[in-house]
Amino acid sequence: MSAPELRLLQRWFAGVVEHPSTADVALAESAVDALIPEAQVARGEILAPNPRLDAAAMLQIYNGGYLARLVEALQGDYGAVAHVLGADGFQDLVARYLAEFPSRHPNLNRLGRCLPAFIARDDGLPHRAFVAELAELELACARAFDAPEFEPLAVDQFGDVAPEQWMSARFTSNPSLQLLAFEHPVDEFYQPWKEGSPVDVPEPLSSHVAVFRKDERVWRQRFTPSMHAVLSALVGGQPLGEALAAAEEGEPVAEWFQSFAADGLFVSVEFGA
Amino acid sequence: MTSSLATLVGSDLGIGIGLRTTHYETILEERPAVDFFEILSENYMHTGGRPVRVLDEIAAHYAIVMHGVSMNIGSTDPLDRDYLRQLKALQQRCGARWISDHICWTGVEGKNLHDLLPLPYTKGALRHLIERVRAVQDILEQPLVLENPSTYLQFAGPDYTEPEFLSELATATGCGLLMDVNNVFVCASNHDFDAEGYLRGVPWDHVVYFHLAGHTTYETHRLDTHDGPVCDEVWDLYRIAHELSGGRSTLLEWDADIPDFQAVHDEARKALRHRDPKSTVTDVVAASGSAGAPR
Repeated sequence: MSAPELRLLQRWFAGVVEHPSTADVALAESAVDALIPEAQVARGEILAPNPRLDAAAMLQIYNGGYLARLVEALQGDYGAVAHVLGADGFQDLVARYLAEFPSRHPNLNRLGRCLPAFIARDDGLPHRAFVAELAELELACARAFDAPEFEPLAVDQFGDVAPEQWMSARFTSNPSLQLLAFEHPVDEFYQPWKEGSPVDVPEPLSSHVAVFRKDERVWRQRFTPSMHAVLSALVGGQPLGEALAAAEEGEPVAEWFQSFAADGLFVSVEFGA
Repeated sequence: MTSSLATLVGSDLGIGIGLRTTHYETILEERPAVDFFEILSENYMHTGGRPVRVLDEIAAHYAIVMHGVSMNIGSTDPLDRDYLRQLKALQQRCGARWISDHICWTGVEGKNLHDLLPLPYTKGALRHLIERVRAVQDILEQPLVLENPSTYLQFAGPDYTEPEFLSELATATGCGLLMDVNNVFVCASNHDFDAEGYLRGVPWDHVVYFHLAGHTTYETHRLDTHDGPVCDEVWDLYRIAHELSGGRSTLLEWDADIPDFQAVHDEARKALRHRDPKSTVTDVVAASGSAGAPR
């Protein structure tokens, strides 16, 4: 068997394995049949005979394992979404998703990166707008878990920096930090689900959540709109003085900043002239 | 190359266990006496969080070997050189004694099917695989260790039996082999060949270590599920393989329905009884009372 023949065989095999239906349906499908005709398979020219299983049944072991394995992998990252949709609904979603976004990375932890965006335009999905935001939160948790290693900035080492100098300081956020703005109270749903006491899908209500890694654990913190605006400005590279101005008058911005720093949300700082 | 095949083959690390997330706390807190751990390479790649920190700590106290599932060595797609570079970086970080993967392909046309898919045992496929293994070994600068797969079908018109294919591949490339005894049994059952005869055809001078695991039996076939203890027939084969090889590092895999660490450890230690019929598990506990082998 030459390399081109091997490539043809692998393309055919892959076509059968990833087919959303079953192996026998895949074998008859024109795109698969065009690579290796079903009749050739039936004549035993491709697969060695097995007294207990015909060709389709042998291939079905691989076809069935493919979806089951990837559903299980995605359920690990999107457990709350799977809870909302139910086992069958989630499996159907994954099958549609894989047809458009098959894995192209050696690591399964990248498989679900496009799922929130896919859900957002998946017509007919129950509670679609909420589920898309829930998926976004779960993806943020997965990304925070896998974010590159970092060393948090120890702000207290800058004790001799004058207060006015701080106002010009620009911060670099740690690579795990993600700021999320939702139209539903997503974290208010997610937390009870995680604790094993799921609640009903909520009605729309604006909410803001920060997701980040601290001490090798992933944290979620609910923010007010003002806190979200201040931290977004800092993450966007605005000097501290300008970022704090995004808050409403009288809000405890200094405490917020100390809290951000204590949570290790920054990795470096540059002071302006 | 940083390690020769002879060095790898001669390194009997003892009895090891596949490192799994569910056992992290027990291992970190209790430091159980284990000869070595095998990590699933991809679990520590493309991530910078807890897994790599835990690995750093475990690697400071135990010997580590690496086992991957995404090298895609048998594919007709180009080699993923970025993946190989990251694999090598991981080895440098954790000091793994060797890097292993499977004789299979996992995807084509840029897609990863995340399964260990079978290759035809033909002259053409062998030539292709030899070329790829040599290229990988040049990048990794060491012998690659490759595992015999579990398969659920065979291609028509093979030029070689599986042991012949392994021998040709190993001789031509100088690669190491990982002999999964459970896979031999599963394939022998699925494809109606004699498992002991298979073992007698293995090129033992290339075998670096053994895998043991449980599998699931269906009416029409056996599936390599790693979800239970090793069955008696596989232990019998392991005893034969141990005699034929003269002794090699042995690793127990348990990947689904994983029990607590002690249960996995106890199952792994049964291997000592089969390596030395005079040994008992009780004797083994006393004999392995020290901390794991230092790197």
